[in-house]
Amino acid sequence: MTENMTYSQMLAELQGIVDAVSRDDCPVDDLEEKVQRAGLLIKTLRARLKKTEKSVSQMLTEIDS
Amino acid sequence: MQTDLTVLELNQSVKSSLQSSFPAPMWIRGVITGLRRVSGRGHTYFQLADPAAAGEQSPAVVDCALFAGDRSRISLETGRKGKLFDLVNEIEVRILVSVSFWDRSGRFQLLMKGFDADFAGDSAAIHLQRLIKQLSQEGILEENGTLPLSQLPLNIGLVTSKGSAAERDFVKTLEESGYPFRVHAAWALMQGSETANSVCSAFNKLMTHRGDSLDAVVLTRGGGSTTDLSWFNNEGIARTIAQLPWPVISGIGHEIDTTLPDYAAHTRAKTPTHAASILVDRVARFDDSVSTLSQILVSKISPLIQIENLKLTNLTGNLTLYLASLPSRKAEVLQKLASKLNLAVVGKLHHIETRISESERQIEMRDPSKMLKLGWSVVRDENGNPLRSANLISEGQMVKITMNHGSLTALVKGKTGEKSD
Repeated sequence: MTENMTYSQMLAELQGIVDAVSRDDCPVDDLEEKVQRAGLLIKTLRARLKKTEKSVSQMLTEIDS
Repeated sequence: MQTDLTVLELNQSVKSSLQSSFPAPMWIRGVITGLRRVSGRGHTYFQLADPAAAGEQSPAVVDCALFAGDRSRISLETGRKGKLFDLVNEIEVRILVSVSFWDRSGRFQLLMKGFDADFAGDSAAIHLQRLIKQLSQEGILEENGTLPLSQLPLNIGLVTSKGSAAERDFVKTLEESGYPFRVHAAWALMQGSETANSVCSAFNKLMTHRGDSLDAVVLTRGGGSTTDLSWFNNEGIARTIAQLPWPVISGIGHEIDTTLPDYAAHTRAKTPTHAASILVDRVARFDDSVSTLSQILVSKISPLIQIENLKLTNLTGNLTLYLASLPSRKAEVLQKLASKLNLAVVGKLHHIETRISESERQIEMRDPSKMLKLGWSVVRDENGNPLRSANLISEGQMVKITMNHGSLTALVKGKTGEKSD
C-alpha cells in the first residue's frame, strides 16, 4: 500500500524497516514480511525518482530555452 | 425811477433771457451725483457736477431732470445702437440738455434730452472703480481666486457667444495643443443690455449640468468698443463668479481692456486665445513634470531591475544545478538504504545460521551414544532411573548398565570410595 504515500513517508518507513532489521531482537518470523515490504517500498521509490528525474529534465530544458 | 418787479416778473425775465441765450438743446458733460428716481411717475432727478479733484468738492453743480417719456425714448435709441443706457452715480456722462427755469419757484434745472452712448471713457472707468472698491470691500473679488486651479485642467466650461471668433480661437488653441481637453459650452450674449443676465444664466446652467465635473470655466469674448465691454462691468456677474465652485478664467476683449470679471475671476487672460494658452501651458507643465518623474523613476529602477535579473539568473543556475543532481542524490540515498537493508538481512540470517550451527554442535556433543562409544556407561536402577552417584547404589542392588553395543544387568557386590559431593 504505497499509492497515497509521499516519497518522504515511504523513505521514512524504509529507514524504519532497515533499523528494525538491524536490531538483534528482531523476530525472525517478521523478517520475511518486513523484507517484502522494504522491497515494495524500494521499487516504488525508484519509480518515483525516475518520474521526477524526467520532469526535472524537461523543466531544465525549458529554463535553458 | 424804475418800477419794482414782482418775483414772478423777475423770474419770467430770467427765464426769457435764458431761453434767448440757450435757444436749442446743448451737449454738456459732468459727473452724476445725487441720483434718485421718483417711483410712480418714472422721472429721474440727479445733479451734474464738474469733476472734482481728489478730496475736494466739485467746483460747480447743476440740477438735472430726466422725465419718464424722455427716458424711454433715450433708452430705446441707445439700445438700438447696441449700447448701454444706465445712469449711475459717480459716472461722467455726456448728455444733451435744454435749459429750464421755473418762473414760479425760480428753480434752474437742466432737462435731459439725449445721451451720448459712445462717451464712456472716464465714466466707465469711474463706474468700474466704484464697483471694484465696493465689491472688494465685501470680499467678492477675492473669492474665486482662493479656489485651487487643477494641475491638469482638462474639463473646461466655456461661457461665450455661440459661433463667435472668441469660441473659434479658444477651441482651436486647445485642439492644437493635442491634449484631450473636453469643452462644455454654455452660450451667452456677449453684448447688449442682457449680457449680465445671460452670462449669469450660462454659469448657472454649467452648475446645474456639470456640477463638480469641471476643472475650470472660461468666460471670454473678443475685442470691442469700451461701451461693448462695459456690459461686463456688472456686479451681478462678479457676485455669480464669487459663488462658483470652479476657478474662472476671464478673457474679455484685448490686452488693454479691463472689465469687472477680470477682477472677480481666478485668472485674467488677455484674449480668448490667451485663456486657452493658460490652460494648455498648465497641462503641458503637468505633462512635463510627469515625464520628468517618469525618467527619474526609470533611471532609479533600471539598475534595480538589472540587479534583480542577475539574482534571478544566479538563482536559476543554482536551481538548475540542484535539480540536475537531485535524482542521483536521492537515488544514492535509496541505494544506501537498500544496501544497508541487504546487509542487515544477510547479517541477520547469517547470525541465525551460526546460532543454529552452534546449537547443533552442542547437541551433537551431548549425544549419549557418542559418550558410550568413548567407553562411558550409564547405570540405571530397576525402574530405569539414571543413577548419577555411587551413593545412590547399595550392595546387593540390581542395576542396569548401558554400554556401547548393548546393556548389562548386574548385581552390586560391593562398593568403595563412597564420599559426598
